[in-house]
Amino acid sequence: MTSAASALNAVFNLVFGVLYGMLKWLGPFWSLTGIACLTGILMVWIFGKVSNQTAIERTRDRLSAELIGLRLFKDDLRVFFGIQFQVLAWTFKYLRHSIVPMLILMVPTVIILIQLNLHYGFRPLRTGESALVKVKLRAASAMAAESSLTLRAPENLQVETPGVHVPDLKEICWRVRGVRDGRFDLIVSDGKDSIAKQVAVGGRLEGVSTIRTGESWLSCLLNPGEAPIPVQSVIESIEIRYPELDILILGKPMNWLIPFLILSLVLGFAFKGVLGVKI
Amino acid sequence: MPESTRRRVLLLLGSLVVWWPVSAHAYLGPGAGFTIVSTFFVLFAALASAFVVLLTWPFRWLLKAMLRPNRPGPSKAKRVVIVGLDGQDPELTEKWMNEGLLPNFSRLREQGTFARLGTTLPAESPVAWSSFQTGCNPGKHRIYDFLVPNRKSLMPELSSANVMAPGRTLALGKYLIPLGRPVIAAGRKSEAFWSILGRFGIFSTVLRVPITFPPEKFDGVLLSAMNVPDVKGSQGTYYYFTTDSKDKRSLVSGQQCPMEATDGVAKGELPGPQNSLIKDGGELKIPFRILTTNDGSGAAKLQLPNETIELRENEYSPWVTLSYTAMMGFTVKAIARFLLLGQKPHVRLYVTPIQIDPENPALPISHPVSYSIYLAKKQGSFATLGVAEDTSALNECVIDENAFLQQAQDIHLEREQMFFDALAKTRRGAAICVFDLTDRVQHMFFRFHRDTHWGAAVADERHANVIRDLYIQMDELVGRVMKEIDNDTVLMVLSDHGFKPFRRAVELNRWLQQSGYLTVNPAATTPDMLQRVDWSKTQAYAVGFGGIYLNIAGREARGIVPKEDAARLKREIREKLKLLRDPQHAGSPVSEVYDRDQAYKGPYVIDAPDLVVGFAPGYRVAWETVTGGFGETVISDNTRPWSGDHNMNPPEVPGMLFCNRPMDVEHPNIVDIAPTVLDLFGVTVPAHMDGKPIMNGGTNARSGVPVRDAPHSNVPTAIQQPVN
Repeated sequence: MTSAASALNAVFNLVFGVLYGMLKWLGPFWSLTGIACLTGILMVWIFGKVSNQTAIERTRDRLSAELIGLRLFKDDLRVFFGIQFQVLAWTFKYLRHSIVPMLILMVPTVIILIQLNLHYGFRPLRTGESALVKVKLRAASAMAAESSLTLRAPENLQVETPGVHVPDLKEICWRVRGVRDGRFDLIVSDGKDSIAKQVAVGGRLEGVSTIRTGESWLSCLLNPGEAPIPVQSVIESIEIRYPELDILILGKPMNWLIPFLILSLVLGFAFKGVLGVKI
Repeated sequence: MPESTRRRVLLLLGSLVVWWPVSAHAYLGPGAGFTIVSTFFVLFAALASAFVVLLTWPFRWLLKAMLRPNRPGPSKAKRVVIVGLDGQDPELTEKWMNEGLLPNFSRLREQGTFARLGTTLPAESPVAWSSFQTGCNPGKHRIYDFLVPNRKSLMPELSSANVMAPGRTLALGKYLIPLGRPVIAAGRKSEAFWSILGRFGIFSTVLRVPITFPPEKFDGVLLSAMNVPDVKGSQGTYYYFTTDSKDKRSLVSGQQCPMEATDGVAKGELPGPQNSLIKDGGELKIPFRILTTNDGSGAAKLQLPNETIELRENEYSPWVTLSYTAMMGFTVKAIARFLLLGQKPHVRLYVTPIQIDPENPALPISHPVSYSIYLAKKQGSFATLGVAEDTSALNECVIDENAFLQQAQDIHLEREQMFFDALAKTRRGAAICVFDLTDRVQHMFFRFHRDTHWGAAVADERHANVIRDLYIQMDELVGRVMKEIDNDTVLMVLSDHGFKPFRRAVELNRWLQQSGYLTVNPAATTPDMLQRVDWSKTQAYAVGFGGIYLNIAGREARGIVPKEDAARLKREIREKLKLLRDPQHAGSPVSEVYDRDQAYKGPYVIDAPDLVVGFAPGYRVAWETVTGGFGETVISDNTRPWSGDHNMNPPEVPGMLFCNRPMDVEHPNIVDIAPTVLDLFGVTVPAHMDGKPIMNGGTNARSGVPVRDAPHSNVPTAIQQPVN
């Protein structure tokens, strides 16, 4: 399963890497807008394919009729509240028709969000900026070998602190600082095996992998930035706490998810007529 | 997908959402987002409107109570329900009631009232239903016929509505941008009783009452009927497409269009409205293709630009929405149904008149405009054309009887659906609906009906019971309505006129010519629309279903008859017409000829025909005369499927009135209905109305009066009906 997840990651990484590479010159906001637009259209198209369009159209029409009815028959309160009940009933019917396509749409949506989080969730360290490196071990027994667990950094990264051990959490933490722009590998070694974790330094807009993990196929799928850690290693994951990437909208920083949500919805709605899809 | 696999997939999808531990956790993606956002807005709108309505209801109630005039009397009914069955004949109804075929009508008769209902002169729907709604004779509402002559252009025109393009346009290159909306001039004058009720805060739902286009504002909802045009602006132009180049038909109400056939694909273009947004834009068209099959299943595919419809031979398609694009961003929406008549050896396709889409109306067909949208969204698209049942296509033998019946029944079901919704929504006030099925089917099937004056001659048994079954169907409808009403509801079931066979056609313009009152211009090439009349030598001409007009100097554009000669000329024509004899049958084809000055009262008498011919049962004006044309002979056999009619002497074709309450008068007239409804709600009957309240306790009731006072009547006293 893990290898299948790795293969899928390779495909998605390639596709989104190409897409991101084509758009990133636009800057974070506009490249995200482009991807949101494509996502909105794709989702609407999939929704059209996996939903019962006739039933949804009929249900929406009935809902619209009842909403118009609220205005037409507002002076008779009994009729008015009867229509209110109909609105609720048809809303639930609408949700019933939407639930299966909603669940199906989650698959591509989750994949897209994972990939976007890789590119827009965090930014590389700037030169001179520090970040926490957190190594999580598989078992408490591995903590016994703590004296042999070492962190090696290339010359472009500087390890600022000795490892801090948190036995309850099975974690060892260091602080590293970027010295020069580039992508570098930190090496965590237990004496027998060495596991590398990529660290990105620089002011460019580029995707960063926050965590390298290998616990399961699901973890692998959810963290596609780097190859999974072999199962036999005592190390469960290595995480870099990168700063979050803020997207500036009207001068205000914002998490990428908010503009993406709004833009994909708005653009999806805008294209549903063109695609002939009833939502 | 097997159930177990499906469950696993759902579990997996659920897990993805639940286990993914990032900030996007709560976000389900655009797919789910669409649903959630839509649902949120719907619920928000519903709850917000509930809140606003509840909050403002006392204020609105108070404001209305302060602004509306006080009703002088108490209401005698909480609700009045009127079911109009256009053209249902009292004689046939009574006969089948007596045979036990109509139990619900019989129950109404026993509970309250069954009577002949005096009709208007002429006895036809636009006139009678106008009198129904206004309580006035035609001299006050100005509807005298379907078609009337324009005294200036000397061309026939529609009497009830005139749709005109916006007055001003902005020319931008080849584009003409309209600065305003089309103007719809209403022909019907006076005021409908539901408007008067509205002023007193009484809500009405009015469905498909003829001559309610353009829809007028009042406190209630209304869906227009007779005279709503199709998208071409006509009263119903159907289309006949064929790939057979030898199939040449001379259609009057329809249009024959060619189709090109290659390799099992027939191509054609659906004509639409004129493109008024572009200079010399011509007619808008939608290309279509029919993909035929050879498998003997009768199936085919109709490909439109944005849609493919499955067709089967002799089965109607559902309503199909058509989009005519006038220019980028400007489309006219319309609806039509398709009937594949055959595929081999030639593709033959019938298309109903292309009608205004009730969901996106190009012209207002309801009040408020949103009411037609409400109905369309609630029950699906529906026929909007004034006379929606395509009698012309059957009359011109493009479709057969079964196809016509199917179409008419489908339209009837649409009406029933909206009517029962109206009953549920109108718990207080008036709910009125007119069903046309009775009229249309009798027009086309009287030739199969044995029990008529001409009955024994009918040999075709195929549809011998269609009319009887129709009356049984109406009885069932009335039964369902009776189940929906309570003791505080007054139910009236009425028709505007009766029905008689139409066997012989009288060509009035030919008679006027032969009698020396009309001269034909030998150079004229068009035989129709009064185009052959030599006005310099013509004293009288005929247009419509029995109207004769004098060519009066100063009134008609090319009039020659001095005003002072009018009375003498009318007398002369009247006396001669009454002497007209049918060479093939005993008796006179003309029962009576009415002088407008005796028949009508009111400010619009000047627009009435000078004389109105009341034909004897079995006779009717010829089709050629209706549009101002000329037939070959004065009296000829009517050989068309349109074999029943009511444009005869009004006393011969009264309507009927059933009510669940007793009446005070023996001789009700259709003009009495409006005052009766007003009186039932405690509203004073306006003095201009000709009718009187006829229900028990009516303050103005003329109890026991056998005949109507002449000044209040739309039909002279002499032709009042005996009452059952």
